[in-house]
Amino acid sequence: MSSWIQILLDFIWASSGLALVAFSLGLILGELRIVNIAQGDLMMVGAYSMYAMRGLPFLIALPLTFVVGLGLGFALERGVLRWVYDKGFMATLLATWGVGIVLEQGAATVFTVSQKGIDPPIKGLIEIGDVVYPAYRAVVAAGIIVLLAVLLLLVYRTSFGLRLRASIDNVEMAAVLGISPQRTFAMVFALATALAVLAGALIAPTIAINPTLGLSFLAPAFFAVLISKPGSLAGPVLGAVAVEFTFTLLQTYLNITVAESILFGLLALFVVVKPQGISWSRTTAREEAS
Amino acid sequence: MSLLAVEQLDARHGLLQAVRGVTFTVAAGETLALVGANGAGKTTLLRTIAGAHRPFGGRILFDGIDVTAVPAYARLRTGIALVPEGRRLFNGMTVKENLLVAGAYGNSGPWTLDTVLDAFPLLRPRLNNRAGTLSGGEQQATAIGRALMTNPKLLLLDEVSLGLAPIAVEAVYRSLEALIKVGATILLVEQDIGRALGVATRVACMLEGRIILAKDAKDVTREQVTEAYFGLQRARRVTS
Ligand SMILES: Nc1ncnc2c1ncn2[C@@H]1O[C@H](COP(=O)(O)OP(=O)(O)OP(=O)(O)O)[C@@H](O)[C@H]1O
Ligand SMILES: [Mg+2]
Repeated sequence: MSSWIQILLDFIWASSGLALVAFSLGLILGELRIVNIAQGDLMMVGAYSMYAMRGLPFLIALPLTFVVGLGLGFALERGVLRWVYDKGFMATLLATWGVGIVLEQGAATVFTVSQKGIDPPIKGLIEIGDVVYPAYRAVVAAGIIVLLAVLLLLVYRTSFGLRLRASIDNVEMAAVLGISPQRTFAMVFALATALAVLAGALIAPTIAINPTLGLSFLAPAFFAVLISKPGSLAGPVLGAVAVEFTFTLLQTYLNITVAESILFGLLALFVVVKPQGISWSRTTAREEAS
Repeated sequence: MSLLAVEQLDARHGLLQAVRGVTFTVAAGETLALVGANGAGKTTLLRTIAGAHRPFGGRILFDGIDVTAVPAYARLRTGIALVPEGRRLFNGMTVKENLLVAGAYGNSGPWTLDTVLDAFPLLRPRLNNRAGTLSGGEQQATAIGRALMTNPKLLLLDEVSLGLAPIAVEAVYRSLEALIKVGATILLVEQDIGRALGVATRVACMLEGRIILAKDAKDVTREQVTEAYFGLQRARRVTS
């Protein structure tokens, strides 16, 4: 019994973080038609940002880190991505891969490759039955769930979300209706970057911080986006829950290495069976955004 | 003064020149029907006027202002609305959302959700259905309604009857006639010459990227348009 509660709590914790990253990855894929290979590295930036601001109260460092993410995302879109939109899918893939490498090297240079850590702002434990669980994780998981609910309400229930969905559906038609692709691309990438950075910041106290920490998040987040309906923003969130559920299940019965291998094997299989899932690229109206 | 003036417009798809030195005007309150065979360049011309396609050369003047370099999203506010070929609705969104999203950045004016629904009452029961689930006629009504929501001064309509059942075509044209009666300015692409002549005040015929015939609808016969449509005039000149 107690082990099941433990597994459930771990599942909620892991899927909440993954869902936030998958949402941000899905947002970028939906609007910009780019698979952002650097999404994991953006999480890494969030973790290091919190490390750099470890002298500040957590609740001050966190919004500052979010603002860092917004600025970084805006700079990357205006400075790098907009030049490759009309160069094809492969070019965008390589560009974001390059951005990721630069971020990793940058972190290694500034902070060295030795592992860092920060203390969680909440150190207590919560008890459920005979299971004790870190209160920080429970609070963060709940916070992310609320955040995702707010984001989904924003997307599906506001006029901002309406314009965003129109632009995701057909950027050219949206432009003819007054929605600037250029502004939407910059805004979406800045927001998605800030969300990935925020996810990294929230996870930071629970992991060893190093320049390549983001890599382990990228594949499952990508998987979550891949199994969801193209263009849907609720999809990646549900996809993340499904991926984490599968992983938890595999992990319960197998050791973690085997479980991971099977998960990534499934991912590879999925890409082979359903390649249009990633290559639905946009051919028109790209000039408008550059 | 004419509302729209297109001067020496060139538009290309890569090396292919789809619109070649096209010049024409549309006066306020006028309905210009543009006819021409497949591939004549009608869609490219309309998309270029709406700003969705960047011209290679020439000028587009709207309401006295040179809008050639104005991007699509800003051109909407000058008062140009496009009902594109194939409708291009946001299929995952409801009819209501399709209409409201167009109102967001459009100009204010007589067209609101309510007045659009009065003009297209068939959409009322469908408001909360996804656009992708509608019939062709309902989709076309939504596409026209979406353009009207921006309160345009000029409405560009690209083959609104394409793929519709005859009864739906009838309904769409009845709505168009009502619009024309209240003074709308329309540039209409239509394959059906009879229909085009039925609603238009003027007719222009496009062939291989050029306008080869432009006349008042009352001064032109269906045969003249058909000849121009298939490029028969030129063919005859060559053979005789
Ligand atoms: N996106 C595109 N890329 C390349 N060529 C294109 C593109 N769109 C149209 N063309 C070409 O430009 C020319 C004009 O096409 P356009 O669609 O403007 O003609 P149209 O008169 O609207 O034809 P239809 O009656 O079939 O709709 C054609 O030769 C067409 O093949
Ligand atoms: Mg056409």
